[in-house]
Amino acid sequence: MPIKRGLRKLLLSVHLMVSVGWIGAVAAYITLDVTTIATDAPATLRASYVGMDLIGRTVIVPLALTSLISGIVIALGTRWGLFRHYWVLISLLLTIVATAVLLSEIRTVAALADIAADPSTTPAELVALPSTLVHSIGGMVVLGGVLVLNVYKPRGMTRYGWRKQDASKRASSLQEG
Amino acid sequence: MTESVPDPERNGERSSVPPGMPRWVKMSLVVVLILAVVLVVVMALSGGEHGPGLHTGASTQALPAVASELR
Repeated sequence: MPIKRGLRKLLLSVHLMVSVGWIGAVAAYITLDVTTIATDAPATLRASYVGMDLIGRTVIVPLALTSLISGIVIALGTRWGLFRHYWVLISLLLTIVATAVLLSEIRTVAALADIAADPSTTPAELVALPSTLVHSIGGMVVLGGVLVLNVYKPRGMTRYGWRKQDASKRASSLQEG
Repeated sequence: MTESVPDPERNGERSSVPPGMPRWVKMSLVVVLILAVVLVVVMALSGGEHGPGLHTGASTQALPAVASELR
């Protein structure tokens, strides 16, 4: 169903804001993630894990879900569609994967933060806590890929998109005839 | 980050036969496949600490146990 121009621009603004914000929030998260590897200072380790949990739960997860939902709404409300063009389809799949891994990983981060915040956790235990850097950097790479796809919009229509377009053209030809 | 400024129907993609998969999609799939294989091999060689199980509740539940063992 086509969305009116004004609403479409508003949705697009929201979508761009939360999507780029998502990337920025992951960058902030990576800074803390790197800190957990680079330092042995107990206070810094505690603060980093708690900060990662806070950024993840209160910023990254809401931004990711809003980005996914707004992207789907905009795609369905414009001629691009959700399954008609490869760049839209791949962007959708990558965003779903990134969000799913995030929602799963955030529980691990929360558990790490609980341990780090526990006053009885010793410095040796803090240093031994695992890092989530592989996931956060992987997430950043995926989000970068989605961003590039959305900027370049490489050509390529799916079979479904081609069939829809062909049916639409046939219908308009019949109306003209 | 879908945008609606350009009209996709003006991309000159109309023809009488359904289009095949574009080359950039095929190349991307090959790159992703290679990266996935490399990741699996690296994880296997480094002790296999990462796997699908890490993305389930099991890993989260195991963390306090790991911390207890450290104590």
